[in-house]
Amino acid sequence: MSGTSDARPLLAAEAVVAGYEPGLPIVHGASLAVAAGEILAVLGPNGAGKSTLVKALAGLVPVSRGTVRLDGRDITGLPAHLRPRAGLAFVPQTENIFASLSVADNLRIACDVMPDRPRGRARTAELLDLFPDLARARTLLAGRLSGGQRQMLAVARALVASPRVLMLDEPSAGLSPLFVSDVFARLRTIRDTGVAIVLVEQNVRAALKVADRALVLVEGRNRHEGPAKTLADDPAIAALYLGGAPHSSGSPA
Amino acid sequence: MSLQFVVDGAVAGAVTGLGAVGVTLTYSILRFANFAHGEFIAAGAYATLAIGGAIGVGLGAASPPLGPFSFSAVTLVAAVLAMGVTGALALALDAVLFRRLRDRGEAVVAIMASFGASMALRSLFEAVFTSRPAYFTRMLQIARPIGFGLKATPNQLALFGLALLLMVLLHGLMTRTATGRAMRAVSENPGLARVAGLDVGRTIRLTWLLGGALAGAAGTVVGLLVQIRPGMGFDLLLPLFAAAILGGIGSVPGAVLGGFTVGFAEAAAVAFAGAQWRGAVAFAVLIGVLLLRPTGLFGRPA
Repeated sequence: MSGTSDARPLLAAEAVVAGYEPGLPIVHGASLAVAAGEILAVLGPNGAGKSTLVKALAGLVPVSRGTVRLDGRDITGLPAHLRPRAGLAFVPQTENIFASLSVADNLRIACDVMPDRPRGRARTAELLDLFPDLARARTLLAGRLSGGQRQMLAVARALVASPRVLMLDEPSAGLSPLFVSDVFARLRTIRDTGVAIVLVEQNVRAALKVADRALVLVEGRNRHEGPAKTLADDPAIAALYLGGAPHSSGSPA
Repeated sequence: MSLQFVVDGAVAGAVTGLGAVGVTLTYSILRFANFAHGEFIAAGAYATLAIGGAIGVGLGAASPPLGPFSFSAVTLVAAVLAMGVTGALALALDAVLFRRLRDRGEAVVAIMASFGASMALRSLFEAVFTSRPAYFTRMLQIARPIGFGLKATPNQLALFGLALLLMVLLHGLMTRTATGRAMRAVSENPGLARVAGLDVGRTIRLTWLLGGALAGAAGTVVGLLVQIRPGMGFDLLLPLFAAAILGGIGSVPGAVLGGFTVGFAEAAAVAFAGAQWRGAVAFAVLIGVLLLRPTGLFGRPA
């Protein structure tokens, strides 16, 4: 079994209050912790603040209270562009690739910002082996890729710097079921290399299948937390917050 | 019929292209039309004049012109330093004016502010250098035959080559270096650029520096080919925008091609319709592009 909740967390957010406008928080004191080699799914109804929480952890949304720690180091106020270098990578939900740049340039940008560029280039070569679709499309403009290929490119770009924590905002959005299972299978592979993964998802069933633990946010606060299996088997939780029971018993409210 | 307009068009095109690449760079990254870009051009010419004069005073003797050209080595050194001056001017204007307005996110306000900065700078040039035209040299250049029955002055040939070289270097920078990739990435999506680890503020400053420096070089070139006046850059503004929009905002090769198109069209209008039509050409090109193909030749759809 990979993924243990009692290991020392690699990424830890404590009582984070965050929002786009000052004085109008969307996340009201949410906390999360994820350890190396663990997938944490962040679930909850629409508007629960899941995306805002990961964007706050990525440094894109200001955090007005609470702390964010990466491997013990306080990164609450660290500018967003320095976080990939610190080992924290983020894949946004939409517009997560540079469509006007070639596939190769999308990956090169990730190398450019690394202190150790040769290592980034070596890692890029490995990733191209891992994603043969991208290797074939290297010289194409990224805007010409299919939805699934775009998602692969976005994930590959985030992996070039060999992050210790990878956060993804709804990687399954807009993808056909076949691609969803492909993306999630790759997340498992990445986790098994010791990366901590934070996965924000609307696709609850698929997310609980891949995740080790899950956190349910409601109205910007932690509502439930536990092993993914336990949450998946809890019909009350499924019916209340997850938009339908996983076992097709009970009808959604 | 004389084909001499081809030479004039090529030279005008190179100058317009050099100015237009600066416009297209700042526009694509900052998302507003900087009307003060013309004043960066005039500032470049005056800075070269002033720095060249100061070096001349320091040397205590007038330096002789280089070979067949009307300019001296001192002018060339001054021109390079002037590129630094105009780059710094662009950075300073960003720091005191545009950055504050950008934070509020209103492009129209930034455009109006750039118009104000343009007028203020022009008045400053007039106050310091007067409105009388100035010249790098009074030396006359004789046009020599260059084949096909065409004639060009040595200055025209050298400055055409220089403008072309600068544009090729910029294209290489944009397509082959980390700096160019960062600029293209920030231009497309500043938010994602931050996620990808790029320092957006630094990239914006670099863009100003580069756009300002190229405008400065264009100013020296225009000053050498024509004359130096406080309004020299402002008069170029319409052709520059026509060229940048024709090429597709954000595209360096597009701005170069747009520059040559506008330059040739202007020279042809002068040759075949009369000099009074010159100013109308850029306007006609601009309106034509906006009506027929608003994204320009190499532009990406918004």
